[in-house]
Amino acid sequence: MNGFASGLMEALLRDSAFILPQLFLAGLGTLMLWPGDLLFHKGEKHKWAPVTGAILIVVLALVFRTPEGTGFSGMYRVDGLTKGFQILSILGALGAVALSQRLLNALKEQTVEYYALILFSLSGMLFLCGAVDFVSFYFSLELMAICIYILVAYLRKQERGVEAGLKYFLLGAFSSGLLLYGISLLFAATGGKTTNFAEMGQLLPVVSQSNTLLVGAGVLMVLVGLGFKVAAVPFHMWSPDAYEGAPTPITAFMATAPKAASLAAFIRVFQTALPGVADQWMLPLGYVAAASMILGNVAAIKQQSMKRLLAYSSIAHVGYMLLGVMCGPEGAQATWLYMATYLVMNFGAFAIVIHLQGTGEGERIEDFRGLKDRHPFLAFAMMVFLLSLAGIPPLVGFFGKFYLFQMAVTQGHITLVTIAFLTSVVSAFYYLGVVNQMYFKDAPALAEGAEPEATGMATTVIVTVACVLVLLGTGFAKPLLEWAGGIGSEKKASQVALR
Amino acid sequence: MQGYAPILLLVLVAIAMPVIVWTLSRLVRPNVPNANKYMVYECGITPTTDAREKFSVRYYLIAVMFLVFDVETVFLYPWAVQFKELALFGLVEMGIFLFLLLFGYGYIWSKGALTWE
Amino acid sequence: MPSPNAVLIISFLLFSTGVAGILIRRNALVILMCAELMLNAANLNFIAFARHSGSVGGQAFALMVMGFAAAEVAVGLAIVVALYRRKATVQVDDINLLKG
Repeated sequence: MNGFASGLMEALLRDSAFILPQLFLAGLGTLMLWPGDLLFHKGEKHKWAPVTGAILIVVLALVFRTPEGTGFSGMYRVDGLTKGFQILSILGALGAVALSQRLLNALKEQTVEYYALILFSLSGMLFLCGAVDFVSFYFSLELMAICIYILVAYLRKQERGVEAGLKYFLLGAFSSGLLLYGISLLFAATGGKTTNFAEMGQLLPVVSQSNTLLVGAGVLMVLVGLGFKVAAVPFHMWSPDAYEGAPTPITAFMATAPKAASLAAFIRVFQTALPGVADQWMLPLGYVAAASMILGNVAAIKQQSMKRLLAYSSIAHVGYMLLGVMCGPEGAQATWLYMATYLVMNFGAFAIVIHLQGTGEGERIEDFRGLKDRHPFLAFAMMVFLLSLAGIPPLVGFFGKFYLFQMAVTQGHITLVTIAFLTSVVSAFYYLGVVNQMYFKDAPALAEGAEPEATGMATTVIVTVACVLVLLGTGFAKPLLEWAGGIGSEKKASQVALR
Repeated sequence: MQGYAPILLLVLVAIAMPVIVWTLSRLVRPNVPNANKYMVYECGITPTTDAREKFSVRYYLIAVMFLVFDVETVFLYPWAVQFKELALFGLVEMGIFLFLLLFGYGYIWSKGALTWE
Repeated sequence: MPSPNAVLIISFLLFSTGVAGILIRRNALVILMCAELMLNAANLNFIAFARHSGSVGGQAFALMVMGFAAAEVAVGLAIVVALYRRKATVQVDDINLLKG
């Protein structure tokens, strides 16, 4: 073996420690599809959920143990930011798997693909959190998105699901085309020298003097493409439809895990590759954030379906989190913290929606009437989640919001914080509307002898854990902040160190 | 742009040729319209059905599978270019890559996507 | 070697064709093709500028994009076929169950 090849071999063996969680995920996902499904569990479709859950827990442990550093010729980097957002994505996937049971057990077909696709898209997300090169960034974004297109259309016997899948797919393909063209323009602006974030970060301020148009167009297209992925206004059109049409556990998954990974990518791209040309994107990003907050919250008011309401509220929350992206390296930890609290509240709320939907009570807001009589605990938990989503103290949602807004104020984004504050007051209006339905409206008459169905184990666990976390989470603020502090400081380090 | 002049000339000639031939044949040929002449040509046999026939959806399935496996060859090209330098390492890497494709093949086989009933 | 800036114009035309097609055409399959056009426009940039600077990174990127494009088309066609089986149409105007 000559020197060139043995050098490659050495690098590969050394660097594979960084992507061990992804290798584990993708490898086992593949084995599950074939020959796993053929050899074990043939026809036993219930058995794959615990296996998937176990895989996810092992991956969570692996992520904690992954060494920090940069590998694969500067393509992939493990640091606090990577790990923080990877953990959120894994928790999102874990929640989605736990909540999927009732839906999948009702299906006649094999469901191993469902779990395998979640694992594959999760491995895309884990790559995305650590991508520090446009090649690996685009690769992981596509891996994540393509798997989710299929998951949205997974119930292919249902017209609604397939329609949502097609809509999401077409807009997703459009946005990834825009994103890729933007990347190619930035690549062209650097004279075709590099796709690495850090190297681009150094080259772009220099070349943007002469190639203003090229750099400007490239930056804007990357912004639009990423905006589509996190569903920020005005690139949000797909999101309510996809959320409504997708199987509800997948809706919960989409609202959390890919969003966390995309936000990590957002922070990486704008803070590592494009900080030198901040004047090109700061203002548009500010407009996008403000529009997301305003439109997300205002459009949520008139929604009839709980899933659509949560979709619009997630658009609004993305608007808040984009504030964190604008805040520079320190904003990363505020964004992470916000995403972590959002994940908990959102999964709690979705667990309840999924439970009610599964028992045939429906997903419309009016179906929540008089929930306090039928399920006192679920009604209470739902109230806690909704109040926390609205950001009412002392719940954990308030803590996340407060920290983020404070960060933004110190960075001088006064106007945006004012808008954010006003719109979160608006958001309290529709969240409280649901609480009103649950507590102060009479329940529709139950059919003769129909008893409200007991909650399943997975739902109970998720709702209880989420409820406790939301109620007491603020008490853990200090250790959480300290842990999140690692995200910010690592971020600063990553801007200095190249390879 | 000097170097592109012959190409421009070629384009002009290429456009002119069919126009000239077409006009000439229009002037020279006799004009005898006949219904049979407008019929779709199907190896000299009278066509029985419309040419725009609906294909079985299985064709699409096979086409999609072909597409995916076919495009994988794209990743073989860089290896082919660097074959000598990569030596045994490249061979092993490509072996692993192709081995992974085997799992996809096994999967579609076990799903019965390759049987045509 | 000529400057690759002329390529930018061609790729922009290709890209605009793709975007216009997506915005104007109502057939899901045609929209899919137009999305591929956009990817290929980007590929053209990558190849031209990588060749210009002599770096291989851009060329490798273009090869990988071809792989993604195939995967995307495979998934997209599968979804379109699933929709056609339910609704017997591939026109996006007939997709109207989800509104709001």
